[in-house]
Amino acid sequence: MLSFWRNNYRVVIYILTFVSVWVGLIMTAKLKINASAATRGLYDALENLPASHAAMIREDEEKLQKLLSDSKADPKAITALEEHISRAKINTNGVVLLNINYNPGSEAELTPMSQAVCRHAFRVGAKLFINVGYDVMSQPLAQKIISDAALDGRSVSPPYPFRESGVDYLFFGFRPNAFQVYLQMGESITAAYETDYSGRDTSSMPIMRGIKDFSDIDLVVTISSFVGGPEMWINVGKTKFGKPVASGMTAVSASDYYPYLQSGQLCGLLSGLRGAAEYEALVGVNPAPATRRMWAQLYIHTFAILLIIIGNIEYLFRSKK
Amino acid sequence: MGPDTFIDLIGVWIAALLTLGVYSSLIKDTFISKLTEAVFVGVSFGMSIVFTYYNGIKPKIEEPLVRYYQNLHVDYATVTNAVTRTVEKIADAKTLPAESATEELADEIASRSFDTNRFFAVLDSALYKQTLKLQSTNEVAVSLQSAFASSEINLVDKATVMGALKDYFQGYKTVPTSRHFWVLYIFISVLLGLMFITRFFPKHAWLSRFPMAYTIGIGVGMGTPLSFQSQIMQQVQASFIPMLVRSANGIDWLATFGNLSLVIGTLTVLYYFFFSFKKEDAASRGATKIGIAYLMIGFGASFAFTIMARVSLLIGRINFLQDEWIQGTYEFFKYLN
Repeated sequence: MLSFWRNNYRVVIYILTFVSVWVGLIMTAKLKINASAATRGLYDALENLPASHAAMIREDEEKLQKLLSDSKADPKAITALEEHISRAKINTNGVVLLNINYNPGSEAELTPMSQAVCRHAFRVGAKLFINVGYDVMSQPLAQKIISDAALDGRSVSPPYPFRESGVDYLFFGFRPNAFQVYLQMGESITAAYETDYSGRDTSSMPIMRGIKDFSDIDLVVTISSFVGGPEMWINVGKTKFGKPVASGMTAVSASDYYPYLQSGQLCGLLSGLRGAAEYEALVGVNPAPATRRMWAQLYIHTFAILLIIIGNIEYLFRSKK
Repeated sequence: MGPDTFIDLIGVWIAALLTLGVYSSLIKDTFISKLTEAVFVGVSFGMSIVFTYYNGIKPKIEEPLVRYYQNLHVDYATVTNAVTRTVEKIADAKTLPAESATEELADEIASRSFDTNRFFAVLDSALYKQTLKLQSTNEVAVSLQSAFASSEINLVDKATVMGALKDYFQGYKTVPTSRHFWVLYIFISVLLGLMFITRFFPKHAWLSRFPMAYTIGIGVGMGTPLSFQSQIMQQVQASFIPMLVRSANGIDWLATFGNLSLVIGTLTVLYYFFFSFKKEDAASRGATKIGIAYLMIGFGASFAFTIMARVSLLIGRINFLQDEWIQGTYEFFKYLN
């Protein structure tokens, strides 16, 4: 028995792993998922976007009043603020920039969370801009996610109507040299992205009414599997443009980003499949692909713990001999 | 979820067989597993080239250069006539302000006086687009209409509008001087890009250092100040936290413990990596041990997250095989019958 195990343990482990996942996937019982504070941070930021957008307008109006009463105030600053306020009043439900920055290798973990974030933004009624980061392979993934979410408003409760490209959302597609493009968005979004992913002129689209530059964006969400991806948005979105940034990432890199959550540089963090499942539970996505996979996660983790215990017991026996 | 068309079905089958091909390497490295690896690398690279061309080279280099060349040879009178006709139509139609504007905004725009500078700026934005084909009167008309539709300018007084348009044409050039410089800039950029390729020719490889230096210089110049602020200053600032947290009900012991462990962890781990002197006394050894414990907890968390991530990928693949391949194929043929 022991010799069979020693000779064939790899194959046995593979088969049992496969069976654990398969059994987990066919489980239909509901799994209770409690959202962590990190996940809730992003949910609250997006759910309260219209309210925070209105508060931002009020703050800017107060600033404008102060500037108008100050005889030494720069007229250019006054004009810029006036223009910003008039633009902000057009985008009543706020503006979200979703950055999708991963390739098919991380699709299993990150696509469910991207879908949930898209659906939540649509439900809130925010204008949604989507761009991709370093990897050109993100483009087809992002394209599918956004078009699915735009079509299927009944997958969340309460549902939202059909969302139209160029009116409710805009997918910019891939541009080389992501960092420089993001910085250029601070000057003009239409200059950074003259055309959308399908080659249509962005400046004439209805969604661009009330949108000029990065100052018109209320929330940045980056879903990234690359080292340095969320950091880049913390640098550009939070530090340079002062906008709240939230991030979703693979579980491998999640532990590196908790310090940014603690420092307030990230307002929310979704870590791996679990983060996606928590977000789906909060938004009320149905069918929920990440939640469905959590049974498989549960079984395979239990199996991994059992293997660790068995391995340690075997080690103890061997060292005694 | 499953395939809708026969082409989709073929795609799903190819994906499923390639997935199984990759997993076959768990048993043994075979021809199939090596083939799937090669297919993966080849397809990824091929797609990257195509997407980079369509999203980078085409809109940023090819189209502006082609349009620039075409617009150099365009007839001035054709363009001005097309612009005049379009602006006249817009002024006649009185369709402005934009359809999407609210009633309140429409009233406000109607009360505004005609702004010549803004009018010129809108014309500039419509006529000096990188990709605008001036030979096509249709394209010119569409570009002007969309620019004016979102401009919020009151164009009701036709006489004033046409007068301002006449003034605009006095300084109008089909290709402005700035566009000539822009083309020069594109050529320099392309040249720098091509210099990278000289790495393949040992004799001229030194030329690749110029674009390399340029790229690194730009990256470091733009990234360093932001990174320093985000990754060092703000992180250090975030570690200055109260050691005793008070709440409305007295001391918040949980938060206090959290803050204490954060400060102790930060200091002891930093101390562990401090190698300038020997740590022989009991206090130093104790601090080092605590630092190691913190590091181990950190590595443990990272390792656990890594397992979770890898398992998620496996779940994703098995989910695909079950839902899209097996169930999808079954439902496809069931629907056909």
